[in-house]
Amino acid sequence: MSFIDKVTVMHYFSRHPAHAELSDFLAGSDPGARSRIASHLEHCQSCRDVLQLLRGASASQWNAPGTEPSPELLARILESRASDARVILPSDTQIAGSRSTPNRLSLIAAAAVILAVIGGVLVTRTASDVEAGATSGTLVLNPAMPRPGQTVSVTYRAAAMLANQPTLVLRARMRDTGSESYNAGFPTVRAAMLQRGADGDFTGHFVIPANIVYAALAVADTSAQSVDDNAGRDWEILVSDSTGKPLFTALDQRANDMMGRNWEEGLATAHRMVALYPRDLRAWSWLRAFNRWLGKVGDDSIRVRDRAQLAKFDSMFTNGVASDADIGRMAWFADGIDSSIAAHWRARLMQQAPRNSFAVQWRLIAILDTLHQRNDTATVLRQMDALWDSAPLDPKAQIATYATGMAMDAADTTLIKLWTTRQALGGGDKRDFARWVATQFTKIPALRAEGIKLVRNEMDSLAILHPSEQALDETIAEQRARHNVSRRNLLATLGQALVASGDYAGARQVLDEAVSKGWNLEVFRAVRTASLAAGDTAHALTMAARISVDPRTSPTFTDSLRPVAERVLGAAGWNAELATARKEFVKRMLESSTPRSIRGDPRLRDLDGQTTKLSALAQGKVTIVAFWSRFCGPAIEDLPVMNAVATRLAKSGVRVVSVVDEANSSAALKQFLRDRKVTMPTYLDSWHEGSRAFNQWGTPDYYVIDADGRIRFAGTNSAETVLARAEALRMSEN
Amino acid sequence: MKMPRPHAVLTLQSSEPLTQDKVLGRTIAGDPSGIAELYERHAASLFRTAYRMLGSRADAEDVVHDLFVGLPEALRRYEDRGRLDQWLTRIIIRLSLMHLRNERRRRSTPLMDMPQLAGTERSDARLELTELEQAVMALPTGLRAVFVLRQVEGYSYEEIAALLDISVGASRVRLTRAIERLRRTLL
Repeated sequence: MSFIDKVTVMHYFSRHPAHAELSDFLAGSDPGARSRIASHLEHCQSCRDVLQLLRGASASQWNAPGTEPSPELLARILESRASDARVILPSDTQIAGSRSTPNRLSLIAAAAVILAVIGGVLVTRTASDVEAGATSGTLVLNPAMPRPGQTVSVTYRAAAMLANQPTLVLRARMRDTGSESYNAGFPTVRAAMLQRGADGDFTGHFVIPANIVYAALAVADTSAQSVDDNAGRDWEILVSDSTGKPLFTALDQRANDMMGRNWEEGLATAHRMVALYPRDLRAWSWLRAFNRWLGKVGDDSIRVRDRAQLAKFDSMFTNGVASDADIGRMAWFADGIDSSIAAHWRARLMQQAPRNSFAVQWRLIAILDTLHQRNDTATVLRQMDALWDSAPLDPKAQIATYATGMAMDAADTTLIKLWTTRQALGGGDKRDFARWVATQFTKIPALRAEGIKLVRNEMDSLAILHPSEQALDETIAEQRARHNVSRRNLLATLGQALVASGDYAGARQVLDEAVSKGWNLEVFRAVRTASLAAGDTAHALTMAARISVDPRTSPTFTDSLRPVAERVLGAAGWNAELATARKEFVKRMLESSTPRSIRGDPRLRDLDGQTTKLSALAQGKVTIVAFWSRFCGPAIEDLPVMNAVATRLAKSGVRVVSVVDEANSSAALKQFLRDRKVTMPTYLDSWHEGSRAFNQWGTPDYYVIDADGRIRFAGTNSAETVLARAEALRMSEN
Repeated sequence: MKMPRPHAVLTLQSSEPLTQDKVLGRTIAGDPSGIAELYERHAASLFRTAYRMLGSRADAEDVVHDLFVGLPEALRRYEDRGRLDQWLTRIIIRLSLMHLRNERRRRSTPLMDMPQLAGTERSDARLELTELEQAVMALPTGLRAVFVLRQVEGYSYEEIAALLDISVGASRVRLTRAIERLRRTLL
């Protein structure tokens, strides 16, 4: 062997095979390379070690203690099955042993039915038996953190319910830096059309308008029959700077978007703001605001931190430059943390920047205070007029709202028109506001004729279903249903207005349509009046029977009616009328019921700390689950009403489980319940399992579950509504 | 909801115990006892496979949960596909991969950058893993999936390519990188 040959051979043996080749060697594949690798291994300890490592990885080595699922997993599985959760598993194409071309299509099909029993209630959207996971696909945005004005490409792996479409619509709710809180009346825009490719993925792209900083996204078919809103979470875009950090304004708009949609996520957004923009008072103001709304501002750790931040900003703005807006925010932020610092900044604000939004709000409060003291509406309205002139746009609507109410109380038609016009400049749902104005006008004799005209206009406008007026997650069926409710309400308003203006024949015509749709006490009352006026006693009594059987009607009404009714119809006739009305009540109420399963069986804790489960409390009976919080004004206000409902329903065997958003029982909570004479059984949602099981946010929120433990009606914040629903359900099950 | 197809579709290989037929029938009918029995037999091994793919107990439990919740309906499609345990393993691998894809998607959207709210963190109990197993768990997701599929589950590059939606070449490259990382960690 020559020297050259020796070098070549050495080289041959010393060239390490790629690790993948060692894997092949172990698997017995690639026989061509076998002898070369075997020879190499004889000389190479390092590759032998790798081979040993690979041998060690074979499946038999992986049975270490602890690699077993937790003991509760089977119970969790059986619970999910019992609560009707379903998962569509990926289809199994013959993978093992196949050497054919990878079947990408079947993979996409598998991904299209991505399962999602993601800790929420399975809400059926289109068909009654849509299975879990059929409603949520996967949306990938590239880039995920775009810069202003950048093009974003979209790939959507469709949910089963959308997979068969050739084209889908990417919907968006786009927010610019000045967009308002809450999502009422926000136009939904078509951001892009997504086309299905040969691989089954839907793709498209869109340019983020330069002024847009945040967008919430959902995917729908072109006729809006089905919408995938990522199981209620929406997909999102936060516009970022060149380093990939979301712009402050993007986070600011996300916080606005989360208001009324998901408060916890709003709080999380504020936390992120202070993490990324710790020197920005706006970030800390958001955090303080969400903590206030979520009732956490009293927590010691939060109080300490707020105090420290206030001191920091106080010295920063005292020693440096403070804009009018900074002064306003300082005054707001300090309020409730340190009264002397707050007073200092408030005084400086009023002197230096009286037209700042915060300043205008405080001036408005001062004006309203004088109303309580002197009750001089005319003077107050003049002061508000002056304030309105000097105010920036965003508190203007607030001033107008108060002024409109006062003008209506005073029945001053000129001022009513002036202030409603001004109020219309504000945010929120413009259509809703127009309907509200039309309805209010019909109640004021001098404006009634105009109101009737406006109501008719609004009814005409409801006939058209504008895609831009669909909420981001709304299907066309849901939009139609929403319009039908509005239409019924307007019909009722119109009918009542016609009754009030003496046009009984016209009223009957309008109201008969309203009566034939849904169950609405206002409508029944108006029809009764119109019928009596037209001398149609029989029809009036039919309406009276409906009013009587509704559990929201006071028993006094029913009692006082009986002698009259029995005189006209006889006792048997009146009882028959009541029986028909009861049937109608149950039928109409249940028309708006959509059964959903509760996720799992949430644990709750009683006031003595004992753990129990919702099923044990409901015991297979119709049950109201009433979520409330000690830190929510409307919930506290409604507490006595709900308690009265509970007392009343106890007689008919309907249970009320009151669930309070607190982890542990406390003397303060017990005292709170005693002070308000709350007697209904109250439980603590210690692990948030209750709110998760119902997929609910915010309080008050009342649900009705049936004997089978399913949710029968979406949550409502009206104790009276839930009373009627629970009664209807109980009557239907008897 | 479609009615279950007749049991005739369940042609099982002789290696399966005969009683399996009855258990499958009960499972297809949605009987909890059937699900529980299949769980006892297969859950531990499926969990380990999922755990190797996902590297997190909580995630592995989630996919095992999903598999068993979906099993009664899926079994109706289980025609002559070979041994049940292999069929289940293929499904758990697909579920795990879907889970990884979802994770990736969620990580690519800003939402998940949010600080976790108290009480939502999942803790992973420490397992008694060998050094090698710990090193595999520490691999980046994409590399770990290829390594586990190849070295532990015994899939071919073509199969891995199909499962992960990458090219055959890429699956070889990833395997080489995974092994190189392990070598540097362990050897």
